[in-house]
Amino acid sequence: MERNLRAPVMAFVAALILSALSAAQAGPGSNFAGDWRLCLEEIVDIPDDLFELHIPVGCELVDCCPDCPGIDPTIYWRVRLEGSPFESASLKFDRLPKEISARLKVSGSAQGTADNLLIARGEALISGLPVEVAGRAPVAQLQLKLDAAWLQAREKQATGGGFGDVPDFGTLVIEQILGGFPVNAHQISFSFRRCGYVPTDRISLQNNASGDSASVWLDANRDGTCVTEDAERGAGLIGVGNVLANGGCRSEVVVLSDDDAMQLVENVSAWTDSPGDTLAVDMTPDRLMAPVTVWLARPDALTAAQADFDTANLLYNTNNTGIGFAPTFVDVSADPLAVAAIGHETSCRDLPRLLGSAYVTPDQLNVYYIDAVDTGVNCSPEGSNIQMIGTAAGNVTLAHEFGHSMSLDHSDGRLHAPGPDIMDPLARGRTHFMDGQSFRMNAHCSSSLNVNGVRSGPVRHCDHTIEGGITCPATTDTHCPRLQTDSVRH
Amino acid sequence: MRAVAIVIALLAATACAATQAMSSEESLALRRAAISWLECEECTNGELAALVKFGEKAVPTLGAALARGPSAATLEEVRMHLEDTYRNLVEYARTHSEVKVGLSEEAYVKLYLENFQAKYAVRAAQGLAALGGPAARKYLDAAAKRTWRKDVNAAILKAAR
Repeated sequence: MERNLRAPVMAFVAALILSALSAAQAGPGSNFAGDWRLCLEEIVDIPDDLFELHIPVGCELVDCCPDCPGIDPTIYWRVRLEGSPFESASLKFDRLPKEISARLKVSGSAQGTADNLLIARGEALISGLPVEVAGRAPVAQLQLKLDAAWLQAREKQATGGGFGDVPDFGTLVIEQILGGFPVNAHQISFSFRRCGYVPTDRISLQNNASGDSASVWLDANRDGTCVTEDAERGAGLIGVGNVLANGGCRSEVVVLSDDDAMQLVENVSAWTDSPGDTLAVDMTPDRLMAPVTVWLARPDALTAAQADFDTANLLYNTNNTGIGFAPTFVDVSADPLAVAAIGHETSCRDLPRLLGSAYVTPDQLNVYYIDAVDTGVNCSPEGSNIQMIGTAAGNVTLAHEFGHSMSLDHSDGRLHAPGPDIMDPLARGRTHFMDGQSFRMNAHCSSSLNVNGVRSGPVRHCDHTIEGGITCPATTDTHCPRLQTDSVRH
Repeated sequence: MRAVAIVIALLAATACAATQAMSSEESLALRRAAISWLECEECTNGELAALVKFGEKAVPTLGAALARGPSAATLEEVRMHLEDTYRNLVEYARTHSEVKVGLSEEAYVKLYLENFQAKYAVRAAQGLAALGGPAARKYLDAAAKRTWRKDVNAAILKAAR
């Protein structure tokens, strides 16, 4: 959905932290769904499905509650809706057997039936839900509703300058409980805060391919204070308020956009103390397409490989990384020498042998589809160009391994992304790269993008990256946005 | 199917009898450790070692995962993600020619859902092999007699050995 933040008004940022937790508390192994940041003008235009959540009914593990008493054959849901931004949540169960629907009991802040429940702020209990049913699990469809009075009041305060930088929070927690033990849980948090500037100074994006809403990060002098990671979004002309002359401040701009390469503009000198300055940022070249040789070392791997690349290209581009992948498929599955050289393990143990063989294209990414029942691996740091993909790979495994090749380390799932983070090694349903991750993939000195010469431009030495064999020169600039940096998007 | 369920129940009961009841915190920790091992991508963060620390107490959980796979709720969560991704792919392909979308939605979901189930089975078997002991052995032997996808079958036989 296209966004336009050019309206000369103060706006809100809504950060919707969607976290699906495997238990009531966040922690390792829990699923993390995301963190969205939207401006108020966008909230009214948001497609309904952004506020729509689908939560399967039942236990996270088939051994539902290890060693629990298990006296009650049913589970109950404890639903808590808290915070002023949300008025209520409507809930209906799909595929819930009629006899179970008829027996559901609701109390607390919930009212209605299984087909049409309304949950107000507070705590609601829904009891009588099944641990498991035959066939596909029933799914609860939740639709959150913003509180109209809150929205109106905040709009009024924002235009009057009365809404400060302290965000408003709203949270929805759903715990599925068996005999007192949580057996599945989802938590969705939302924060709304001020965003947007009167466009007295502007950044003008030129040649923005596809004209999408780009993510812009500004380091500059604001009101005599050096600010970093000041976030804006826009497609063409983007208001940034009155940015002052640099003084002693670092002044640079990073732009991340669909279909365009990342732009890192250093030493910006366009800003003066007077309003009306414009910084032009040329968004050429288009997205950087990394060439990839794909070695199909097992029969019938082509279909899966193409689907993996489709998914990787979708995720990298729609997350504004400015990176894509251009595969060349080479079927060596009938060549015993090739299969032997490539091996049968999703490991990097035989990396020297592979790198010394004829089955590697130097100075570019190589992916090997091998006959091993495993997910995938990237051989960073010694072999950052090498990816092994096994027969149990998920649809995001290849995208994840490419992230390693471009210097990213695993994240811990607590980045508050708009979707589960692609570099989280545990999360289900991963969809998102943070802008901080996109920056590293583009700018970090050990990223295969720079090492292979796909990108030319200034490099940085960032934290939360894989280095190892590639060491950034001591003089490399270490200034990088925080890993969890992300901008308004949906 | 009923016979399989009875065997699983007996195996679980045998394994439970050999261990002391867990506290709720321990049960939760075991559940998290099991999920981490069963679902991790490269598993380089000590996921198996963390699970093995639970010893025999982890056997019924892994045994159930091997015998029955992911829970219906977890499988549904994965399926919903795959369906969403596919819809996004189709939309994206309209303006980006490098994306071909050579699979139908059904085939795309099936491909990755089966891979997820394969990963689950293999990790459960590997976990049981790492835990060892007679209860784990029973689960592995039972699994070795079943028909699996070819690659999964080989991995389970290896774990059972």
